[in-house]
Amino acid sequence: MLAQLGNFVLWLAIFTSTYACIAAIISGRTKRLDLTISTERAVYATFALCLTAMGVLEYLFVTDSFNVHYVATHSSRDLATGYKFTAVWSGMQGSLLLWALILSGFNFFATLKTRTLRGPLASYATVIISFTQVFFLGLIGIHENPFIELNFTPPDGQGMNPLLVHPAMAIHPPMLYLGYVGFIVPYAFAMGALLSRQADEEWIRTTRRWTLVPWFFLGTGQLLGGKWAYVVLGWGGYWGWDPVENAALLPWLTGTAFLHSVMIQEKKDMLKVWNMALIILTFTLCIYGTFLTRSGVVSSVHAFAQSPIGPWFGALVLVIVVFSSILLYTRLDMLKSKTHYESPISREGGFLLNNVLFLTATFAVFWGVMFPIISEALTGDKITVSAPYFNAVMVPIGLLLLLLTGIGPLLAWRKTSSQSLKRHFAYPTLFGLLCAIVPAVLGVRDIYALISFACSGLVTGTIVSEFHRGALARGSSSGESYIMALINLTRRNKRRYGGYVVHFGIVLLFIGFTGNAFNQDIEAELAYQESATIGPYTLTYEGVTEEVKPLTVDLTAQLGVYKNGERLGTMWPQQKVYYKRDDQQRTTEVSIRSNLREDLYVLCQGFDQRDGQEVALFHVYVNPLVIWVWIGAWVITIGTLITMLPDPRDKARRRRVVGLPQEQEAVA
Amino acid sequence: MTREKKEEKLEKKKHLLSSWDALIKYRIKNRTSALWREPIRALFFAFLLPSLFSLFFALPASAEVTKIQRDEVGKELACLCGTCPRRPLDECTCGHAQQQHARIDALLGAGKTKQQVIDAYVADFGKIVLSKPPAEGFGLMAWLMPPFVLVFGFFMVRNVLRTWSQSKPVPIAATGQQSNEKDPYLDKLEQELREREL
Repeated sequence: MLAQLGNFVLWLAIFTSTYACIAAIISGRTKRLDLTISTERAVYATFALCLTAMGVLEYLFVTDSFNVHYVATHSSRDLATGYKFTAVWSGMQGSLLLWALILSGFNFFATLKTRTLRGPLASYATVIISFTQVFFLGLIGIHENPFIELNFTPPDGQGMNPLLVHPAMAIHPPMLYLGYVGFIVPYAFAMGALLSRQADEEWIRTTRRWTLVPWFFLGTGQLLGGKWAYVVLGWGGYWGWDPVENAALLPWLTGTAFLHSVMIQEKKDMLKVWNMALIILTFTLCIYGTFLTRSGVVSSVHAFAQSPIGPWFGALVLVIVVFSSILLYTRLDMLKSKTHYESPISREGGFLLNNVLFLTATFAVFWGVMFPIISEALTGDKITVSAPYFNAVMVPIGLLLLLLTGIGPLLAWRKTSSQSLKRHFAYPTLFGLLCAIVPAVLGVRDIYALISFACSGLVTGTIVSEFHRGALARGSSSGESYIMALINLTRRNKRRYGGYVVHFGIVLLFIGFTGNAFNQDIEAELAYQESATIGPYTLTYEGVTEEVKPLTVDLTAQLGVYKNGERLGTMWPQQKVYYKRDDQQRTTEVSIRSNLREDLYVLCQGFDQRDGQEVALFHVYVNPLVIWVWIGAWVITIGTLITMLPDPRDKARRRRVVGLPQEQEAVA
Repeated sequence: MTREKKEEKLEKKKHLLSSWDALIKYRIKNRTSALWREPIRALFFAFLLPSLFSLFFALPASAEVTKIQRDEVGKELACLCGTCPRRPLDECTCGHAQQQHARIDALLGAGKTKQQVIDAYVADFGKIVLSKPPAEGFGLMAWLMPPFVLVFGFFMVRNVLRTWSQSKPVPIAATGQQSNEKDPYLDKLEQELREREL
């Protein structure tokens, strides 16, 4: 009964989103206020219906309704309630419904927040989002319906994929979807601007935060995925250049280029066509990423999300590219730049360079993902493109970008004098050099690591210098104390100084990445009280315990950790055997001792017999600086939040009504 | 590690060798048999082979092959287990990768060079087993395209900047754009910064 209700609600949502799409087209053309309001209500209704559908599916999971096929194949009675909740998006149908729900949520909030901007631009933006909504909901309704019932009720479900039974998996997919889906808002407003011929900066200002939100979630979602890989997959790393990881990186890279590039349009009224092209590319890559994940055209650790609906996403990518390109081409006359620049050594020049590097990085990743397919199609040769290729190609580009992160903010708009360059760069450059010389003296010989440390020092120096100079200037004009001047400086220009905080977070990420150059690992086969040594650590095997849980048998090895003869603590790496599954699937739960310097990371690979004595097999890693990746993620979060805090100037601007007379707004 | 333990470890690694390792051994054996037909080489192998053979058993392979040596080879080869994203063998920890570690140890222990081990893998699996595209033939395109795009991008930026600089500058005030961004607070801050720099 409940499954039927869910199905009914799903089809009702398809109807309301179709109506919203058609009504928005008409209201965009005719500027009819009644129809605009009707469209908005349809958008609200679609969100409510998607929310209901998801609520019903969650209820079916939590109540073990195994008469529903999707529930029976993705949950089981023994699954903890929290995981029953997250099991909803562990398969194709539920994850698509989550996607559709997030899309309807973005449509709802974007419509709600831009009510004061009612007019053709907003209406056409609604058309784009609603059309995508119809596509997703239609796909769910026809191909991947999670409410299909079995004609019998199995006593128990098949259970959730054991690899997904992890807290990070509870939030990694929703965060990534928030990123993937969220880029539709700036894309839709860009297309709305072209369709309504209002191609000024309005669409950029309206969607600035709507761009930051998905950019943030896409980045954080990937880092959470990295955390999951680090803890669950047990290969000692957090980024394996998996094709699906790469697919999520692509729109993040172009989205970052877009976030920088729009500043030139806002400030200087330049690069209008380029910004349009960037947001089109970003959204296209979002759908392309979905296509890669769902189609199975590349081998990936995300194989569990594959299904035959891949071609539909391929078709959607094609539609977006063709439609957007034609629209952009036919509106080129409206996108002429008005102002010009004076010198390549300027903020404009820096941003252009930034865009070239981000797009090269995007191309390199895309090329690496697609090359095996291209190679096989053209030459018949099956080729592997994995981490060594991406590391070789991406590390130099990443370091160039890091260097530019340090240089860019110190460049002035229009022109930077050589005197100014010397004055601003002297101390940060010295600090950067010091950051490379010290590790070199201490014995570091990896050239990329030294460059990375130097660039990190330079960027940190420029950021500190920017805050310091700003606080001194503010302090001297307002008489505030240094600390208050720093706080108020950031408060009054959240976008600029929040951006610097984000840059600092990126520096920390790079420091963490650089640690990879110094990773050590050993394999050890230890009998009771035998020891193994790695770096400064000695690990002594102190036995194993066995615990039978509802879903698993947990085999927990105990290791004493010593450094210079002093016991630091105990580590408990685990092997989990899903004994109720036919395949007796095993997963590992690594044990990590983390400090600011390095992670001691122990993986238990299993148990064996030697001379009639039981031995445990371990893979032990010392991964320097990893914790700075996670700290960097938090700093980026704080910086992004600062940039997104409300600004009184934006409020004043929002009061303006575009496209519709003020009286009509009052009536509404 | 005692001698018994070393031997036991060797036995264990041998046990782990999969069927195609036997195939390779068979191929090596056949090639060697063919060489017997030539007298000079026959003499050479008559001396060398027993020496290698005795060396192989006198000094167990696992004792000779360090993890660093294995990783040197492993990072050039991809794990083809079908579940991981073809992770390099030196990083992968799956069951299939562990089997390959044993095979690499055995091949290196038998006196093969890094390149010979890689060639043996390519002969068995094709180029797909290499962890990165070979820098030859069409594989070269994988390496050349990203730098080409970077250079092309720089070239495009240079052209765009040149075009812009040749255009007649439009006064900022005439565009009406700056007014949207004008902020008295920022102006004051920038002014203060300029004054401090004088």
